[in-house]
This record gives sequence, structure tokens and C-alpha cells, in this order.
Amino acid sequence: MTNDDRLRDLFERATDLPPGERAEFLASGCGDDQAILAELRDLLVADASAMADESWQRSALRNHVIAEKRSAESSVGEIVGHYRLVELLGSGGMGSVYRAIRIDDQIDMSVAVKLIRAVFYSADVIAEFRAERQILANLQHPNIARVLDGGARPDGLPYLIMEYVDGVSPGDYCRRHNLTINQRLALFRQICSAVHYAHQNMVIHQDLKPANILVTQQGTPKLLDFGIAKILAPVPAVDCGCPAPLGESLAEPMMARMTLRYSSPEQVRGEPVTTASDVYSLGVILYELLTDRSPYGDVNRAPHAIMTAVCEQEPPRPSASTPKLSGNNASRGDLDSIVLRALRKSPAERYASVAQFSDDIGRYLEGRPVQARGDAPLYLAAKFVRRNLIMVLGATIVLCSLIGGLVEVALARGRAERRFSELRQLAHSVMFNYADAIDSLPGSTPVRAQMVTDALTYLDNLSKEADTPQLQREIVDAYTRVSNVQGNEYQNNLGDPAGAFATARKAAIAAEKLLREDRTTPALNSAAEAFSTFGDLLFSTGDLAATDHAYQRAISLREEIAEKSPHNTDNSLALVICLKHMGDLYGGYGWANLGKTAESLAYYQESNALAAKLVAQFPGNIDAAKASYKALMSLSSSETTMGMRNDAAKDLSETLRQIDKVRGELPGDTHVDLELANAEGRFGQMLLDDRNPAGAIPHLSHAVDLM
Amino acid sequence: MDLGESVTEWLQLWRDGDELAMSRVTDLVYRDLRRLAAFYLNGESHANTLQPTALVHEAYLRVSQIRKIDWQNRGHFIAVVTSLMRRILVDHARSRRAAKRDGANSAEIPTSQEPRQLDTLAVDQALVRMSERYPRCAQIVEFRFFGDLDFQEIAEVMNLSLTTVERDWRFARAWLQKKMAGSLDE
Repeated sequence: MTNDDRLRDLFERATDLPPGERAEFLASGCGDDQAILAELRDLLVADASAMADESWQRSALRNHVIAEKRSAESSVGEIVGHYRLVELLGSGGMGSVYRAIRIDDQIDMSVAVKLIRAVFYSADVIAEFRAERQILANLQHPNIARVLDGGARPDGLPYLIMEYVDGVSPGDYCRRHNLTINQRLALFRQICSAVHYAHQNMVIHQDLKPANILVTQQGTPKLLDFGIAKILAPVPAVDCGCPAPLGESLAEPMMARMTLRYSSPEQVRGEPVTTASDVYSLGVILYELLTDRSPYGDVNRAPHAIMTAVCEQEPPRPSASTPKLSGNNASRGDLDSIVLRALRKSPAERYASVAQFSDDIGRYLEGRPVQARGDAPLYLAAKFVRRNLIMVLGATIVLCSLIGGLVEVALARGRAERRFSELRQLAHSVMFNYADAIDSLPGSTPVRAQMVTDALTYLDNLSKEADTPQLQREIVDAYTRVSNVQGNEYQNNLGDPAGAFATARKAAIAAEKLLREDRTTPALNSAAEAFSTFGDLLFSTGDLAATDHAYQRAISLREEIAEKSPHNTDNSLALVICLKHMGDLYGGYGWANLGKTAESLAYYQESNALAAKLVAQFPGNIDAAKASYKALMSLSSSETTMGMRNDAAKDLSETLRQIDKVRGELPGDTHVDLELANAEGRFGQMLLDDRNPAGAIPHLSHAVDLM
Repeated sequence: MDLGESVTEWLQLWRDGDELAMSRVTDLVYRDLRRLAAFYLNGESHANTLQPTALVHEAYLRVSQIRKIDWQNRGHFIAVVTSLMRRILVDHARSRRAAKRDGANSAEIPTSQEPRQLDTLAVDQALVRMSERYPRCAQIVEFRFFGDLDFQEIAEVMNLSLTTVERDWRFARAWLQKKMAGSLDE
């Protein structure tokens, strides 16, 4: 046992004893070792005093908080210049602001005194403070809290005396006085005028946020702390001796003083800050004033999440969350455009000055066309791609294919054609890579609508110039896809059946043109897809004869593909669906149909036979399994209609078995659950019709449970 | 510390190169640090809410910066966070002391209501020496004093029995008290 261990052991045994017995124990335990005996005695004394000392109960963190609080409060009552500090108004990272009154009480007027905390005091800070104070003293504007005086306390700590503004934050003011949108805009323009004035005087605020703006009872907004953030800038950086893989640009001083959610992307990245930064912060403030929510949604996130949002997340249109903003038809979207223009990620794309920003709001208020809308389509397109690139970040394959595609395009074609190619690529990407990605995003509908409009414009232009089969095929695919986005009932669509129909028709026309030049499998597939989609939309309009024609075209193309490449599973699956749809068209239960039940039964049988073959061939293919039970269920109800009770019962129970199997492989898939509920319901109904209520009940109750 | 078991999983993923896992871990840690800071301000003036936030912010930044460290498990992770907290608090204590020394007439006269405090710098220095002779005790003190973990949490993180932690703490406390004698309220 080492000495250290021995000491420890003796200490423990001693402390286990009642104090009265310890002396004896020590004497026997330590033997002749006087050194350890002395140390043990000291330790036991220390133990007793530590036990009584409650400071051992508090951690350093708690001590830190207490110390900070004390240092901020201890200044109340102090005399600074000719003023006495009477109340702590607030304290930020580097300093505290107090309300103060004149010592002589000659005039009953409060001022605000800002003190820099001792911890951050250094010669550099003082020098910068003096230079800055001079600039601030020159800023005389009705919407800027004036700097009255400044100096240093006897201990050398600098202070600043400013006009005391008794007011509330802009958001609170708007809510309390229930300001209309236009009144809010007018208030905001006053803030703009202050910021613009400062810019003209070479001062960038850098820390614009509601907390730095107070609105007086008279409704005058006042900017506080103008440039204080800059004065207080150099935070003593604490070297933690660690590598900084996030990039040196995330400067700590910046981090410590910024309020992330009002910061511009360049500020967050630690890049040079210009007046455009203030434009951005004003944009955030305006966004919040208009919508009562942040452009980044949940702001109670960890800093890095907010940082990512600031740098990458395109804010939703203000009107998307605030119905009253889109009420006025004439100017619908103008406000959105104005706010979003100020909030562009790239400084160069924002308003060139705060004055321009404010002027555009002025134009809106007067009902004149706003500047912000001028460049909307291209911006939206670019924005869309960027937004979606972010969304599928991680889906590297998509990204690579996009980049790869662009490189290929750039290499293969001359410069003159590049723009054309890029647009084509854009439309293609939008349709195929990203439409799915945004499908599930809440609030994406306006973007999708815009996307569809843009895409159709490109496609219409492209289709006139389409000179190669490959391009023609892409156009067919794109039209089909757009049509689905517009109005496919089975997808999260834009609810625009008329638009969907028109686009599907374009797809079908383009497909006919394509087929005249190209009968390769990809071309046949694209055309079949187009005809199916067109047929679906025709079916929903009730034009059954035209539907028949479109479906027949699709089926014959699918059969042609099957002949060429019998192992094309996707094609076979599509054929199963096509045949089923034909069955629906001819005599499907619950559809407006052609009333030809015998033909309907034949199509369902064909569909089912093909599906069964696929399932046998590819037992693990879930799509085949799904197609199979759908075909079988349709067949069964057709058989019921035809009075083929036994076949119907047999097929329906087989359907149940198949759905159950799929359900086992896709637990939690509500769609499959619903299919099973449907089948169980039908089975129960069938048993009821057979006067077998006892047999029906378990099936019906199972159906109810599933719903 | 209220770090759920999931942290271990996320750390695993993170080590395996999943960048998103990093965000998750730091999210959890950040939330927890904030909660801790907020806890101390409960019932007190709102004027000061920014200071502990700034502190947490710094801890958070440092956590982000050390993400290349190869994490073994949750205990290791908490130990790293704790040692970061220690560094931050010691840095603050040091700069506060420097400011005091530089200021001409700024000697603070503690009032009677102020709770006595352990000197952060003295604890830090004594801990360095303790870790040479009683590393486990020193680690427990670090968790307790700088990481603000309670004994139960320390026992879990270090995989020790609660009794062991409590006995170690008692010994460490006496040892530090003896070493720091005269340095309190410096």
C-alpha cells in the first residue's frame, strides 16, 4: 500500500468512527509515522470545517451566476458623471444599461447609462470607444436615441450617457395598438429612415433587432445602442487550444455579441459586413412585424441550427402564414416580394440601400408597382433549386447526377446553347429530382405552383425547339410529371384538374410526335406513361370514349415493350395497372363506366393473371404483390357483379391473404391497412349477403378496427 | 445533466462519420446546459438572463470545436463537456481577477448577505495536484464542482457505486480544504 493509499484508508476508517474514538484510532493506526499522523489530523480538521462550510454545496457555475448578478447590480446607486444610477434596465453580453437621474435633480429627466463590464475592459476598448462616441455624437436623428455624454469612471471604466426612451418593442407596440398592415409599414419606414441616415454617416448598426428599438407612446420608434455593438466588439477570446474544424470564420467575438436570428448570413459566416447586412436585419424585423413569426420558424433552436437556417433556409412567403397579407388582389404578393428581396442570402441580391427598401414599401403603400417583383421568375427558379439542393443534401446521388448532368451539358454543347441547356436541366431537375422531395413539406404549395408555372413556360418554349428524340422524350416526361403535380388525385397535388388536363394533353401530343421518330423502349415507355396519365384525367372528366382510346394506346405500347424486353418488370407492373384501369372503365364497381361487364371481367382477369405471374417470378417484389392484390380485389367484385359467387369468394379470401402478407412486410403502412379494411369489409358484406352474419362479424369488426 | 441514453447512440453515429448526429448531440448538450443555467436563475431577476446564456454559449462553441475527438461513450462525452466548463469558468475567474487588479479603486467590499464562495482558481489549482495522487477523487470533484453533476449522476457516469462516490467526495473535500486553507475569499 502506498502512502497515498494508506492516508486515504486511514481517513476513511477514522471518519467512520465517532469523533471521540478517533484519537485512539489514529494513535494505533499510524504507529510511529508522525508525518502521516500530522497529515491525517489536518485532514480531519479540514473535513470538519468543510462539512460546516456551505460553500462546498455550490458549484462553480452557480458561483459564476451569483458573481455576474452581483457585479451588474452593485452599480446601482453609483454616481456616473453627473448622474446617479437608479435602476438596472438590462444587461447584455459585455455591459449593462441603467436608468439614471441627474445628481442635482434640477431637471426631472432620466437618462440611460451604459457601462462596460470590468471584465472586458482594456486599452483597446477605451480607444475604440472614444472614436465611436464621436461618431455617435454626430448622429442627430428623430428616430435615434441621442448620445448625450460619455467618459470614464475613476476606475477607468468607460460609460456612455444616452437619451432615455420610455417605450416598448415594435412588435408589442403593434399588437397593443392593433395596428393595420399599412400602419405597421409606416412605423417600419421610420426605422428605415434612421438606419439610412446612419449609413449616410458611415455607421453600420450591425445589431438591429427589436430589442434595440423602442417605440414611444407617441408612436415614434427610436433606435438604441447605435454602434455599441461595434464599440464592444473585441471580446477577449479564450484560447481553448482546440482545433476549429468548423472554420476560423466563425469568429467568437462575432458569436458572442450577435443575436443570431436577426443576423445576416454574411455576419453569421464572419464575412465582411456592409450596409446590406442592416438591410437583411431590417428584413427580418419587417417579416416579424407583418407575420408575428420568425422567417426561420422555431427560434428556440440551438445556435448552429439557427445559423444554418440563416445561411440556407429560404423563408416562406409572409402571406403564406398571414392571410390578411394576401387579401388585396391588386397587390397580392408585392409585400412578399419586398420582404423576400431584403432577405436574400446574397448581399448583392438585396436592396442596394435601406432607402430603396423603404421606397419600395412606399410604392406598395401608394399602390404602384414595386421594384422587388421585377426579377421574380429567375430568382424564384434559382431559389427553388438552391432550396431543394439543401433539402436533399445527403441524397448525394441526386446532387451528383445534377452536377454530372450540368457538366455533361456544358461539355457536349457550345457556349451559345449553354443557357438553353441549363434551363432544360433546371426544368428536368425540378420535375424529377425535387418534386418528390417537397411533396411532404408543409406550406410548399405556393412554391410548387410557381415551379409549375415556370416549368411550363420552359417546356412550352423547349417543345418548339425540340429537335432530338432525346429532348422530345424529356419533354413528354416533364409534361406528364407536371400534370401529376397539378392534379393527380393520388398525390399531394395542387388541386388544379383543369391545368393537369391541359398539361396531360400536351404530353400526349408530344408523345405522338415522339413516336413518329423514335420507337425505342425509353420512348415507348414515356409515351405509354403520358397516355395513361391523359387517360386517367379523361376518365375523371367523364369522357369515356376518349379514355378508352388513351388507355388502349398505353396498353398497346406496353405490350410492344413487353415483346421487346419480356423481363422488364416495371413495364409489366404498369401493364397490370393499365389493364385494371380498363376493367374499371368498362364496368368497374363504383365508377361511371361503359357498362360492359363481360369485357370488364376479361380485363380484370388478364390483369390478375399477369400480376400472379409477376408475383410467382418475383416473390419479394412488394410492388408486384400490391398490384396483384389490387387486381384480385377488382376481379372479385367484378365476379360478384356477374353473379359468380363462388369465384368471388375464393378470390376475395385470396386477396385477404395477400394483403395480410404485404402488411407483414410493411408494418405501419396506413394505406395497406386501409386496403385490408376495405377487403375485410367486402368479405363481411359478402357473408352477410350469404345470410351468414356469424361469419361476417369477425371480418366486419376487423375492418372497423383497421379504420 | 439530463443527457438521455440516446446520446450514446448519436455519438456512435457521429464517430462513424454521420454529421447530422453531431448536430443532434450538440443540440441535446446545449439544451441541457441551458436548462442548467436557467435553473440557477429561477426566481431571480430577469435582468441577468444573458450571462449564463453567454456562458452556455461558450461551452457550446467549444463542444462544437472538439468534434474530432474519438468518443468512447456517454461518460467520456460528459467528462469532456465538464472539463470544458471548467476551463471556461477558470478563464472567467482569471479575467475577473485581472480586472480587479488593474482597476485603481475597484476593490470590491463584500456585503454580509453575499454567500461565501469557493475560489474557482484555487480549486482548479488544487485539483491539478490532486489528480496526480488521487485521480478518481479529482475527477469526481471536477464533475461536482465544474460540471454540476449530483452524486447519483457521477456514479452513473463513472460506473461507481453511490457510496464510493460519496466517500471519495468526502476525502477529496477535506484534502482540498486543507490545501486551499487561507486561499478562500482571496
